[in-house]
Amino acid sequence: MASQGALPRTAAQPASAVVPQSAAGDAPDLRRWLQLGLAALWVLDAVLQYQPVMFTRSFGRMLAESGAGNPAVVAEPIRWAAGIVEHNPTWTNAAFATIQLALGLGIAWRPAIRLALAGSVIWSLAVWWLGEGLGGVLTGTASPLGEAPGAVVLYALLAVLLWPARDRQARGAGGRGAFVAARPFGPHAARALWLVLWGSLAYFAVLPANRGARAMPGMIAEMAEGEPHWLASVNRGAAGLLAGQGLTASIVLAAVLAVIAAGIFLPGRWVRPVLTLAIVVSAAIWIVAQDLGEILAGGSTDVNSAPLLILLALAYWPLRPPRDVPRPGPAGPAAAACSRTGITGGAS
Amino acid sequence: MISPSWLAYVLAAVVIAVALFSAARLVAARGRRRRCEVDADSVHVVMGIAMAGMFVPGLAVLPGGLWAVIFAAGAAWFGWRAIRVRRLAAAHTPAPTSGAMTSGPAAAAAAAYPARRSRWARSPRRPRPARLAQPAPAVRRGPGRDCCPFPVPHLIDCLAMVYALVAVPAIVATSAPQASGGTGGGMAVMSHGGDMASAGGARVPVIGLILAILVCGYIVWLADRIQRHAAAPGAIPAAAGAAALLAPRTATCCKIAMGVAMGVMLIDLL
Repeated sequence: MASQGALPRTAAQPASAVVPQSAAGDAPDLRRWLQLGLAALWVLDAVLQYQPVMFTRSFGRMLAESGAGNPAVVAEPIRWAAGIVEHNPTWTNAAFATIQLALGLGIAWRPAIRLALAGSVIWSLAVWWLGEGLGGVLTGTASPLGEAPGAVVLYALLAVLLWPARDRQARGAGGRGAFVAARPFGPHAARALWLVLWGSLAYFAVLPANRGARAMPGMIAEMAEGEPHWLASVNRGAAGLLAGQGLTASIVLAAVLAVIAAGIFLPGRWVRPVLTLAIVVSAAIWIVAQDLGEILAGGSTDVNSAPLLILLALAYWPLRPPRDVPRPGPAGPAAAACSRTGITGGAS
Repeated sequence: MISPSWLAYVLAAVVIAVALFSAARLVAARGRRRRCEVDADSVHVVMGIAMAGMFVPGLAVLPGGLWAVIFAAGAAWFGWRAIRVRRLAAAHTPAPTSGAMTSGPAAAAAAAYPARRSRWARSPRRPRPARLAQPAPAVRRGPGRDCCPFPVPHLIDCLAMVYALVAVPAIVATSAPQASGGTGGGMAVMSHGGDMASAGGARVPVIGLILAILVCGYIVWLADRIQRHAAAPGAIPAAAGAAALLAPRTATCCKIAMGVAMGVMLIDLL
C-alpha cells in the first residue's frame, strides 16, 4: 500500500506553503479518531449481532422483554417489532447486523460519513425505543451501572457531536477552551448535553430501585453468572464490599456523577481532571458492573454504555493549539485564530 | 453448521474469494511488473483456505495443528517485520520540527519508507517528489521489498488464527481426520449450531475479545484509508523500476472482508 502515507506537497510548492496535515485533511485529528472509534464500535456491534444465538427466536423474546413496565404508547410498538423479529429471526437479524456493519464502514469511509452518521442517529433512536425500551428511563429501573439511559442512544449523541460541521467551528472556539464536541452546535449546547446526560445518570443512581441496601450489590453479584472466573470474582468481590451499603454506595455514586456533570463548566485546566474522572468511573463501571458488556458470557448485542461514555469524555477534552500552525503574518489572521483556539480543521 | 448454515457458507465464500483475489494479485503483479504485498497476499491465500475450513468443515484441507504452525510462522514473520520497520523508522527519524510527520498514519508511512524520509531529512528545503505510489529505492532493494508496509495488523490476524486454532477445545476435539471425513479433518469452529456451551468455549476468552476488538479497529482503519489510494493530483508518473501497487483499493476491500469474517469467527468462539 504504497500510497498510504502523508500527501506530499508538489514540487512547485515552497516549504512555507506546507499546512498541517490535519488541516490538509490527511492525518486524522482528534475528531476523526473519535469518529473511527465510533465506527469500530458499530463494527463490533455488527459482529456481535452475527452470533448464532441472535438468529434464534430468543432474540425476539429478548426485545419484547424491554417493553415491560413502559407506558402502553411505548410498549405496544416494542411488542409489534419484537413479534416481527421473533417470527422472522434469520432475516431480520441478518438485516440488523448488516445495517450496523454498513454504519461502521460508512463512518470510516470518508465520502459516506455524513450519510452514515445521519443513519446512526436514526437507527440508534429506533433501537433505543424498539430494542431497549428507552433504556428503562420511564420504568424507574434505569441504573448507571446498567445501561441507562440506554447504550444505543449514546451512539446517536456521539454521531451528533462528532458531525463533521465546519460552519460552527468559530462558535466552538468561542468558549473557554475548544473541544471536539463543541463544533456542531457550539460549546454551550455541548456542555448542556453533557450536563443532562451525566446529571440524569446521577439521578438514576438514587432512584428507589437503585438505592436499596441490597440493590447495587445484588445487581453486581447477578452479573457473575456465565462470566469467566476472573470476572465473576471481580463481581463477587465488589458485591461483597458493598454488601449492606447499597444506600451509601448509591449516594456516593450519585455525588461523583453530579460532580462530573457540573464539572464540564469549570475552566479548562480543571475540566481535564473532571473528564479523567469520567473516564475512570466509566472504565470501572464497565469492568465491575457491566462485565465488559457481557460479551464473554455470550448473547450480548453491544459493548454497553461505558465505552461510549469514554468516547464522549474524549470528545469534550480541551484541545491544545497545534505547534505547527503558522503564526500571524503572511498567513493572515485566520490562521492565528485557529492557532489560539486549537481548531485544526475538519479532516472529514 | 453454524445457525443459520447459510451464514457459514457466505463467510466461507467470502474468505475463499479473498484468497483467490490474493493469489491472482500475486500472479498478475509479476506478469504486469506491478508491485503487490507479497507477504500479506500470501498470508491471505493461506488464511482464506484455513478459515473456509473453519466455517464449513467439509472444506478443511489440513489438520488444525498444522494450520496453527503455519500461522505461528506467519506471526513470527510479521512480528519481525514490525520490529524492523520500527527500528528503521527510529534510525531515520529526525527531531520533529513540525507536526507534519508526527501523526499516526504519517509516522507509519514514514516507517514504511525510511530511506525516502531520510533523504528529506538531509535536505529539508528540497522539494519533496510527489511519488505516492513508489517505494524508496532502498526499500525496493532491501529485505522489505514488496512487503506490506503495515505488518502489525497482519501480525494480529495471524495471532488470531493461532488463538482460534489452539485456544478452543472444540476445534482440537474435531480436528481429527475422521471428524469430517475429508482429507485433512474438519476444524468446525462454527459447527456448534448456536449452542455455545457445546463448543466448550475458548480457554482464555478475554484474549479472543481483545483480538476481536483489534480486528474491528483494523477494519475501520482500512476503510478510512481507501480514499488514500486514489491517484494524487500532480503526482508524476512512476519511474522505471518503481512499479505502482496493483489494485490497492480492491486489496483493501478484501482485507476488510477478511477482517469481518475473522471478527465473526472470534466472537463466535468466545
